[in-house]
Amino acid sequence: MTTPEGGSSAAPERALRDIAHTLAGYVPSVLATSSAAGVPNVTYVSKVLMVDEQRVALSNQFLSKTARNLAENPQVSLLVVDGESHDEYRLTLVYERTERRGPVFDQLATDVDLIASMVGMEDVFRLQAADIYRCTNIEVIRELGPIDPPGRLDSVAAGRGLGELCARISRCRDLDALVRVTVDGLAELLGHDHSMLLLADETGRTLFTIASRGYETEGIGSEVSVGDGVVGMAAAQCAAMRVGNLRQMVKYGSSVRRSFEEAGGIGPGREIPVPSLFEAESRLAVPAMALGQLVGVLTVEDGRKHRYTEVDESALQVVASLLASTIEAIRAEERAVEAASVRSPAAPPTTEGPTTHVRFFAVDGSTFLDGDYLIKGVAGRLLWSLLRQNQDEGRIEFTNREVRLDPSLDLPDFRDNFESRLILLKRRLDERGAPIRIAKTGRGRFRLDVGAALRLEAMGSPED
Amino acid sequence: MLTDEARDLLEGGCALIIGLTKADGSPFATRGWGFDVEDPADTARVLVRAADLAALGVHVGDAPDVPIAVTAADVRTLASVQLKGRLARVTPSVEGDAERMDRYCDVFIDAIVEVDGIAREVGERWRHTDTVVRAWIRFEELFVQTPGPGAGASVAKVQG
Repeated sequence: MTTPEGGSSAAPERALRDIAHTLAGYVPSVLATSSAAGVPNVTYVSKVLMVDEQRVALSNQFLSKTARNLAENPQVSLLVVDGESHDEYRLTLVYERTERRGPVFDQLATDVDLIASMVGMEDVFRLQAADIYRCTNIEVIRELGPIDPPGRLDSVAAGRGLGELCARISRCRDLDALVRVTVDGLAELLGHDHSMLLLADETGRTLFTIASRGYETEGIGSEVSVGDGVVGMAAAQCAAMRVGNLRQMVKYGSSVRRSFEEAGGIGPGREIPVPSLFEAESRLAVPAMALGQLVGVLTVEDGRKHRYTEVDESALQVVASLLASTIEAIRAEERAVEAASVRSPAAPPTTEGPTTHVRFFAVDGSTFLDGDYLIKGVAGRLLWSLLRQNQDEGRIEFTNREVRLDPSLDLPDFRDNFESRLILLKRRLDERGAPIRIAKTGRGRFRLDVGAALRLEAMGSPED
Repeated sequence: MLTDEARDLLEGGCALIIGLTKADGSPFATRGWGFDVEDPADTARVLVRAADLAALGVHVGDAPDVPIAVTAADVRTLASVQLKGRLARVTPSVEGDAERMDRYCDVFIDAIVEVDGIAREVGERWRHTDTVVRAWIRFEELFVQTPGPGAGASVAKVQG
């Protein structure tokens, strides 16, 4: 290895590739620089990225003093700590250049964007630059050996589980079974006890939960905006997002946010909670894409730190890709079915037992059963349309094709996601144990089962 | 010169990181293992691994009078200050310093175990039994170091 002056230095005890896992940023790194006059400055950096066998990149957000020192003296001392073993190394670096675009910048920027999205600072907290340094020495400070966290799958076990899960997915014939088999299989075969599948809505700006496993409530219909948090960022960038220290990231982001607030840069605002139904430390979210389009996001999470590895990420990407293709195939098949409108005999409305009060707000489709929120948007308008036809005409049998043409649903002409909304509604009614249920009766057909007397009430707006 | 808040932070179980400059002008990062403000209040001593200072050519009994920077960060909130001054002298550790370092490690490790959700035995990996020495610091200026746009702002400066 060569020193910046061109002479030879002692061989480093470790090469960068030996400690690459340490650079993940799970424990903040310590950066010391010195001015030309020898006055040191010591601070933390949130991210170190291995660029090649000899170089690392550091994220530069607020390092004004560091930048001034580097202009006078390019040498740097960096302490890095492994997030799992807590082994510690001292790197001697020499500043080479600053990048404000390109793959290295983009990779560091993604991490900063992720933190910003967690605390609602997307507009002000951005990566300023990626500083590139050459590593001339690595000194071992503390090396006590690796810790193997429990619960990780090795690549053989993951491959076996992945194969079986793909086979199960391939046997699914409808969306309802597909989403259930996927989240169940992730738990049974790949050890992901907490998982969620979210689908992109018609606008592409929001994801809605269509299935989950491992939470107190399924959260069917809950929404995440594209760009918000780990899940939203996976959708926005159509790239896998793997985080092993969520609490550390939120803590850092919150500290930065407070600093911005105190400086008057932003007003106090909402702190977007990490979309999670429990205290997660690790989260892995991968985009489910088909034909170059985002179909949804598949995400798993765990209460342990650094739970997920590249093996998990690769396996989940395979599952998500197959899932997306299968969803698109099911949607295409449902649309192609020429199911004629079925005029079933009028079924007399149920009049016995307690009455269920259905309130519908036309302004956004939000629908309440006995005062409890059920669903909104297309799924809410769909339920209202079905219930009206049931009450007015006694209809219980429907086809996707006829319902899709109902103008009151306000479906877009292109990629209407009708099947997803129908299954969302079905699963939400099942989750709630509602007296109204939807049952598939065949390809492109379904039945509305009403097990209680209904009182339908249409409202002008949610504030009424 | 120190605010009460800064003193509490520095003397508590914060993450203590230290910047020094070698004779060839290159910076050197290390850690502190317990910080105590002395009387008069613009001096303090911080426990540092003897081997780290030796790497800089500084040994017990030396009075190098070189610049030093100490940053203290609250593990729970990341609120941070940076103290800049001079490394006035280095003296051997005395009776009670090992206990002081242990007390520091207790509080520091408690914080990272709580905040980072790691197992206690993993946190204990931070504790060490290396020889430490007392590094005596004469304060010159205190800065905000909390991550954000205010980082680097001067809080107080020793007059004269």
